[in-house]
Amino acid sequence: MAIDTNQLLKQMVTAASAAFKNKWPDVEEYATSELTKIAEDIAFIEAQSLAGKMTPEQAKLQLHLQTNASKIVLLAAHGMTILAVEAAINAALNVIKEAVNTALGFAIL
Amino acid sequence: MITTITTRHSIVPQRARFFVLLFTLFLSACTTVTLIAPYDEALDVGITELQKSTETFLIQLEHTGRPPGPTLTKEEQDFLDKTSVAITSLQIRADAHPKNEITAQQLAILKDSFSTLGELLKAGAPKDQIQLIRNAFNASTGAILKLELAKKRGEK
Repeated sequence: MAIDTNQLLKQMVTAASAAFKNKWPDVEEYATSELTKIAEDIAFIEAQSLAGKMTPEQAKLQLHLQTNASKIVLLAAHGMTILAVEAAINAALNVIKEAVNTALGFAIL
Repeated sequence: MITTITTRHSIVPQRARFFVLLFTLFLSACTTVTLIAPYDEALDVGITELQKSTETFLIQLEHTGRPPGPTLTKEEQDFLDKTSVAITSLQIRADAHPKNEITAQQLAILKDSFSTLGELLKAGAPKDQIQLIRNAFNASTGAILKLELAKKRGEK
């Protein structure tokens, strides 16, 4: 039975969005775009395999490359959510800094 | 008695001043929080070079395809050896930065992908399947670069 690329992508995106929780919107565009390409390649591997144009060994190794690529993409997305949290914390600290400096009338922080 | 009260009253403001000073020092130290390693230009350049050398290798492979065979050719082995050295060097550099575990993990996976490429070459890689390999490596190196560039944190 042939893989439905859209269904595969939907499953990948649903799993990723659940894992990223409320940080998903920060990386949704990038992750979805990359996962779309990977889902298409996985479907192509399956089609080639079913058509007898790719041996089981080649298909296994090609799938491994695609799986690794998706891991690296999701790790990048994870890193970007951490950077977003860092930016939010620093923005809040800057507000405190400005409030303290304004209250004191000079730049202490 | 009066002396004692004066002493007690003078101690409290001193303590308060001490805590205000301590709080101020704490805030000064915390005005910038860093949760992930800084941008590393050498890693940026190293990954870009790796992407170029991989693309060069794949373009050459695309001309003829690669029939199955139990051993790698000298050119294939040279390419994989050089790539392994380059990634190990980048891994050592990434490990030297604290809070850089994500990049280190990405590089470890990328190294595994090149090892898989070696196996795939032996299993055979027809011309029309090279694009799949290219897509996987471009997505991988692109993602490592994307995170590294994001570490610039808005700097130009």
